[in-house]
Amino acid sequence: MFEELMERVKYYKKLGVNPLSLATGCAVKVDLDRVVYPALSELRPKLEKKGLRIAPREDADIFPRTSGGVEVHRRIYTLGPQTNVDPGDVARIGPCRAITVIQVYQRYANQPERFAELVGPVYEKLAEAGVPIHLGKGHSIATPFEEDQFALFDFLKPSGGREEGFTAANNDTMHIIDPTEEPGDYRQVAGALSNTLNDLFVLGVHENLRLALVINAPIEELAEKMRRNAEEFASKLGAEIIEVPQPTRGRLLIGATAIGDTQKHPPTFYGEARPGMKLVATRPFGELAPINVYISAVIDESVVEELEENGITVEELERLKEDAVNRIATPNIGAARVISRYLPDAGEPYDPDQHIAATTDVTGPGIYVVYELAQQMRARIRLHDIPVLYPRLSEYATSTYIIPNATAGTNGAFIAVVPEPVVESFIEDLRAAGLQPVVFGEILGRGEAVVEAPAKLKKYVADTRVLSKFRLVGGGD
Amino acid sequence: MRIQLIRVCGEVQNTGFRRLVWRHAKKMGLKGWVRNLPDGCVEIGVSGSRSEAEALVERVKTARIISVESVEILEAEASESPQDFEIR
Repeated sequence: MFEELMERVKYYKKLGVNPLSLATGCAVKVDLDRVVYPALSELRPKLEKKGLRIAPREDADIFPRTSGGVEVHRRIYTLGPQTNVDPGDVARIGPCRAITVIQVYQRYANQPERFAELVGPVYEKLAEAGVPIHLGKGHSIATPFEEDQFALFDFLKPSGGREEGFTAANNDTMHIIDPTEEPGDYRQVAGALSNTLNDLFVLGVHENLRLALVINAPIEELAEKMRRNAEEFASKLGAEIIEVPQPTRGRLLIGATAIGDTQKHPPTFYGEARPGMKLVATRPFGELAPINVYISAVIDESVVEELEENGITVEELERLKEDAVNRIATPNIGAARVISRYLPDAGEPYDPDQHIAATTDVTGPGIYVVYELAQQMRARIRLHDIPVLYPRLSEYATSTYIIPNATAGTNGAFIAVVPEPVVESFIEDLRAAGLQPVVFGEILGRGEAVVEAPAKLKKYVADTRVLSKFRLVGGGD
Repeated sequence: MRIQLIRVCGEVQNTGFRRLVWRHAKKMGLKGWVRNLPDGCVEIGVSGSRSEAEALVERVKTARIISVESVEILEAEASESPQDFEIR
């Protein structure tokens, strides 16, 4: 088994990805808090004077819906002082928003000053267009190849008059989903595109889905196969593919700018969270654990021995890994439809007895997203369970330090803050959509963010920085 | 306090090497850090004896696929004592 995988690793390296480097799921992201935001904070005031507004951290850009939809104009720029941004071209497009993907050389990805030197000239040149642009979701990834750096801008130009409802847009682009499988495997593209759509779906946004693909590969035949897989995925979902140029930097990239509409108000009623509201997960989480254990077993022989000592066979690990990859490759549109049923129509008031107050998706930080939610809502939360998909394997992966946080996911489950009177019907609707919902916590009150969690959280999280955000209660389980 | 500074060069960045070091350091109960260096090598800081640092290196060197070309261990003075082992 491992010989075959090692051959695959060599193949991936030729494609510009070392699969073993991946914390799986996401491309190596540039750290937002340590690099991206410090780098942008100095630029921000200067750019805002010229009409460029860089949005604070957000998972998706949400803006009013218009009757003519949104035109997408993609431009791909070089980074640094010699950037090829053409302000005249941007002025001709006349966008009012932009979604960005910035890929930087990994050696600069840890240095805010260097990052600012690379992206600063791009924004400054854009500002010369004299067009007020809201720079919404920005996605930054690292590449091991200096020549692969680029800034991709999807300029959005809404047209027509204001309509009831909202439009949401997001980009997520990665190198690969499951490094143990071929890049041409349908699930690679399905997982990556589901992942970018997830930030829309978690808001209940699921109408008029459009995908401006980011697909790139060093071999045209592979790129073509990935495009066909993307078309198949879009067709199954009823999404439209928008034709846009590609970065053509030669190495693997899979993702998209996803755009969708909703007639509802997205669940951003953070100030409405009330005591007694329940935290409902649309399904248990932690799908990255088996993939990480599997990859670790390839690198480190001692993992296989430990697995066997823990009564987990390699065959079982393979089965769980398959299950996880299948979950990642399944779009969460069913959950999106259910969430939208529990939201007010756009323009209607929020009802604390009927409407979901807030949602989040369980991504790379895993259970930590609950603490972030508590911060956004300024709420005290009590968790009475940690619903993980693979308890035994996750516990093993945590106790042997294979994964710092075995609750992490990609294209993960949603957590919704649901008023008590509608919890039962919300759960029934999720079950009817084929999901395995779990009520695993509740809001205790408002105030400073505090999350109480059962002590068994330690079985699934080894990262002390994450654990320190939770007040662990009880012993053992 | 004294720490062991280990500099590991080879195909060690973008290979999952830091995660591997973290795993073995945690299993050994060591405190310190592992981080990428701008020149492509990896630095491991270990609060412990030289023999503990050598034992950690022995464990991570046996990994498949990852290729370690050189290892240097130096003793240095640190202003703060690490409370955990972390990936920086």
